[in-house]
Amino acid sequence: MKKRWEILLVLLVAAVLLTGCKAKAPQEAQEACESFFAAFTSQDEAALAAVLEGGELSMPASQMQQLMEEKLAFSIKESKKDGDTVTISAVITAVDLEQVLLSLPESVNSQETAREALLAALQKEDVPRKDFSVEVLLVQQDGKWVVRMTRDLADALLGGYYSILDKLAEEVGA
Amino acid sequence: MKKLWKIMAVCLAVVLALPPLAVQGAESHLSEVGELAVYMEGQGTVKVPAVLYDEEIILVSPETAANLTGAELSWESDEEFVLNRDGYLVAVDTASGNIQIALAPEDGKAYGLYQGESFSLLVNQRAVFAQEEVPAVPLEQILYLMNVQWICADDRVYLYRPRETAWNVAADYISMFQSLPTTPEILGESVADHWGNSFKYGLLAFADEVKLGFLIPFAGAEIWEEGKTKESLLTLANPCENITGDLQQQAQISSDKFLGDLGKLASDIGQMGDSGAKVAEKLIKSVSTWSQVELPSDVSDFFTGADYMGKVVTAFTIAGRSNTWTEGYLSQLSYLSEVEAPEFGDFCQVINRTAASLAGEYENYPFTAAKEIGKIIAGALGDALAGKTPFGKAVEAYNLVHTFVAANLPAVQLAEQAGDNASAAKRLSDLSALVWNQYVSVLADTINLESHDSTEAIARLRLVGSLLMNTATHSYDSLYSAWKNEYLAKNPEASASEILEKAGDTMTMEELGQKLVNAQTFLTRWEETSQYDPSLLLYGDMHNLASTTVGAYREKIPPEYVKFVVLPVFSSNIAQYQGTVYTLGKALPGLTEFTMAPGSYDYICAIGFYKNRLYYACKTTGTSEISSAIYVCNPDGSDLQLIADAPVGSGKPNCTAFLIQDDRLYYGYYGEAYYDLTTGESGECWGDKDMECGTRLASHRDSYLTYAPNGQYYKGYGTITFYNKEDQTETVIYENSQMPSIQIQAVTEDYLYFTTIHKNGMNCSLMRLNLQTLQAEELDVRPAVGSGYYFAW
Repeated sequence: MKKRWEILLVLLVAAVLLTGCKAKAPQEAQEACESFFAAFTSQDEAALAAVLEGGELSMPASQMQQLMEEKLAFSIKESKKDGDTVTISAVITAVDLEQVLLSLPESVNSQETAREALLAALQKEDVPRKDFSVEVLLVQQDGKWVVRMTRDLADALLGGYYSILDKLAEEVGA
Repeated sequence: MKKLWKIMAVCLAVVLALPPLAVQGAESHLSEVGELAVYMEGQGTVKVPAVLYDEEIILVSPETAANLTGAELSWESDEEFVLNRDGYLVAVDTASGNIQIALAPEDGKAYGLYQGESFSLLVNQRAVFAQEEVPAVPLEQILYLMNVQWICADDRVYLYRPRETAWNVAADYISMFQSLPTTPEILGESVADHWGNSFKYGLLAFADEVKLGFLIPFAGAEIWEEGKTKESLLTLANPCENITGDLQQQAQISSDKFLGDLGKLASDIGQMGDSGAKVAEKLIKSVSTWSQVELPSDVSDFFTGADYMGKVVTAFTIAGRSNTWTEGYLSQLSYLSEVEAPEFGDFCQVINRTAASLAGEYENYPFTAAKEIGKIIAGALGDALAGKTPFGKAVEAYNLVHTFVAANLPAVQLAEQAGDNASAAKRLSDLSALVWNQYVSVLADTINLESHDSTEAIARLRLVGSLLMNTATHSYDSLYSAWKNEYLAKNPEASASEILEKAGDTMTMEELGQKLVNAQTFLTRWEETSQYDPSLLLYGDMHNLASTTVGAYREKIPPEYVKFVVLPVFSSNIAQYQGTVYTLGKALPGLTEFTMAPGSYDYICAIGFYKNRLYYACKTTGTSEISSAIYVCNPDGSDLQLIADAPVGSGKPNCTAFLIQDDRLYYGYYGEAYYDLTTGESGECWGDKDMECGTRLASHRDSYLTYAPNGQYYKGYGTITFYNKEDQTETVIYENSQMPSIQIQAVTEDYLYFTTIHKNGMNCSLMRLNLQTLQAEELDVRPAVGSGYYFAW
């Protein structure tokens, strides 16, 4: 009896310890994810480079891109660890690019006029927005957690740009 | 009397107690400024100012370093400067001696290279170049860090400077990214058909504005059919079919500044004197890795005449470029067969399988391209190549590849004829997205590599970068064909100009052509820079500075290549040494009193500095019945040697004045004697040159002719005239009839010192003439005594 209690005690301690280990990794990864969202919203290139896989090389953002990024909002739902990766379920609220493009006036008849109209539209407070549910993938790089860019994440950050292209490709049969 | 002797004894003791050192700053590791002859493409032979450190290390100013390396010079502070060759930076901090190497892409940031190496100046000195004291930096070290190659021959350094290296192409990654095709561009009017015109233009504007550098997974959810994928990959084997005519002209303009012309350089050198051909041959075989391409001996024999070397260079450059192209294609297939991009899912797997299949199919590709192409060059083109620009020769290389590929890879021809250009454009655009993803990662890894033990990392960067631009170029090329053929299908009689004007879709044909040229130019740049890869192996200890590796050829520059212009020196009352102007009179503004006890007799009456040695004449007191002697020593008085002695009544030549020229010292009242500084030989002036010099010494009393680097100064009645030896003009730079009796004492970079007797004969003055403003300043005036001159005996 005494031996059985000892075994149970050992198992209980082990379970607690293992639970602690399993929870710790997603916490650091979640912080990395939050840093990624914060850096993206504030357009902090240095901070972004630190939490994005392969983000060492910067690319200066255009005015249009900055306007898109300013409108981003993020909320994290849950996270889970699967082997060497962590997946964080998040909702990204971004400009609804498809609606913005559809609402461009018919007077737009060149790339230049389109650019000006887009910039004007993106600066409006009531610019259409959309929620994107995204599974953000985090991996280990040099001992720290970094966000791996995926198609879905990119699509959300760009307001559905890649989804639009998918639709187009399907419609035109490309 | 006894008291007088005591006084004299005390004076003598004081004089003997004075240190012999009269010249400040006598110890210096630096020589005077000399000239180094350098030959560069586009400039021919130039002579640049240089100094020697410890008679061994050649130092130049940062300005000269920038000129020789083809870089721009900028100063961060008085002690920090940067050499910038189109985004490749070498930053030198002369305060600490530290050197940093970095890439500066267009976004204004700087990425450090070779971070595991510690670079510092071999020697850290300052020197006066062109009247300005600046840092003096080791020439070979700077050339090494700036990837220059050189050979030495005939007292001249022949530089081979890269227009750019792989680092420069890497630094342009933002422009490279902007050269990639976007899906909206390719989907074309079909977007407008389904979504409307404004949507189409809005999408194009968005794709153009939003720099998606790290955000491009491929766009296109379709599953790639392997047959179509194979066709797309096969198109990469051929040069673009639409870069012809006007587009070829545009491509030439775009590429020219990145292409070197070793052939012309070799031709120009080959025509320089008897040894020019040998120097040119050595240069060619040493600096360009393309020179390692073997040409059949009968091809080499085909080229004759004065431009032989130029033609040979052209032949192996074209053969080498063709080789690079064809071998590069197989390497690209091999890369694609192994690339891992899990985020691209099935698409990447299809690429892997298709590329592996093609690579296996063509691994026995008959790579005898160099020899075959060499024969074609000799047989069909011959002399016609000699007059072509570097880009023209590159086009010939591509045309030859086209011919060769057509003959050996029939599948490529079939792929081209399949006609599904629009589809190929889309597929290749998607492939460029995948490769871009890989390229950024490889680029970051290569930049962050702490040290390069081999060219492997650079070669891998080039492989992926070339593949990236190959897919982009061919995507645009396919799109160009698609729009052109689509228009021709509806308008079969359309002229080329009509097609150019009307066949455009999401952009005009002209705009599409420009994008095609931009992408092609990057491809050319990757290819061109491959020959310089060995020169990118840089180490802090520079253990490979002296190198015979082709592509990193660097010879030790003999210090004797630095030639010193030694002007004739007349003995005088005022003389300059290493920036300090010494006078036999009292100290005055800008003048330091010369205090040195003579080797014999009573006092020193004339001095002169020549090749870092001090020469002086000394005499007994009085104006007649005097003894005199001439000595030489180091500027600190050490190593004193008697050159000539003329005790009173000896009949020996007068030693109160001298002229030194071409390592001979001339003396005597009539300049009748000489002493050879090199051999120690002395004698009378009977030979032509000796007679001329001797006469010049004698006539120096009349004109006080004084030599300067750019000409001569001489006096007249109340005037001083400058003779400019370059344009052979004479200019009166000082004139004052109230000061008629002038004696020019010395000329420095900034001033001319002269003495003069006032017209009334009562006073004499020591004057200083500013050579920039030509304003004269009286430094001292006193009553005229004796001969009346300021430095009268």
